[in-house]
Amino acid sequence: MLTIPEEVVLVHTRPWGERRVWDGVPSLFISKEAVAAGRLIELVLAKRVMVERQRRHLVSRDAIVVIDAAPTGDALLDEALTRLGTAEGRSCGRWITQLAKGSPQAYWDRLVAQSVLRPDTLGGDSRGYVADDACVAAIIGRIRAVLEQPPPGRSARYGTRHGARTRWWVHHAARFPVQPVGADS
Amino acid sequence: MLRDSRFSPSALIRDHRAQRREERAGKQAMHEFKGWAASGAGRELDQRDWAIAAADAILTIAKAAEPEPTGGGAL
Repeated sequence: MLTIPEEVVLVHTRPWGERRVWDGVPSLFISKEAVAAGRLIELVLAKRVMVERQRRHLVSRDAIVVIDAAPTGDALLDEALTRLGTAEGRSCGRWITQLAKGSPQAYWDRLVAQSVLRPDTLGGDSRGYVADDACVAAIIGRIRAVLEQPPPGRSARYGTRHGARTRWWVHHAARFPVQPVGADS
Repeated sequence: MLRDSRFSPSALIRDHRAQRREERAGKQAMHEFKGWAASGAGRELDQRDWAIAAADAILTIAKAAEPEPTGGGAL
């Protein structure tokens, strides 16, 4: 199973219903803040960091705190964990800005190395990359499961330039398969 | 996305409305998860506490990563 930041990159690169290639400049197309937040959320799910409400003077803020510095085994997550551990007490927004630098490219490179993103060789065009259909389908399937089968017209919107926020919320909602929307609790 | 050239005013409005609906659905799903976590069904106390804290943390991080309201998405 891919991590959240990997999935964010993948979903950004392969809109539904269209075969699309990219020319190797992921930072232009991928929300680096979404990827950075995905790294943080993955660390929350791995029980390595938590968000803590901190009050300093009259100002309160939500800070990321490390609760377990043990490596996760994922190099990019561990790099983020190390950085978080060496400078505690920064706000979520500040860490997202910090971790955003280079995140899309790093995950893009990883997906290429894993062959989840592959050079497009059809038609002799080797400039771009295409995403693995099965991986994208699995991500989309999980999102749909959470949102109770959104209409096809709605799902097509994920590929538009206005879809970043949508993707973000829906994507992370989909991370909780234990409680599908509408299920009895 | 930069190569999309099929946008029209009506399509942009439809996109925006669809986006808002999906945002609401996504947020609702996360809040429902938090409610489920708080119910503690079938779990130990520490697991329940962690699930609640994790749900709060994820919501906070997600909000911090949201683009400005006037932003248009990933570009």
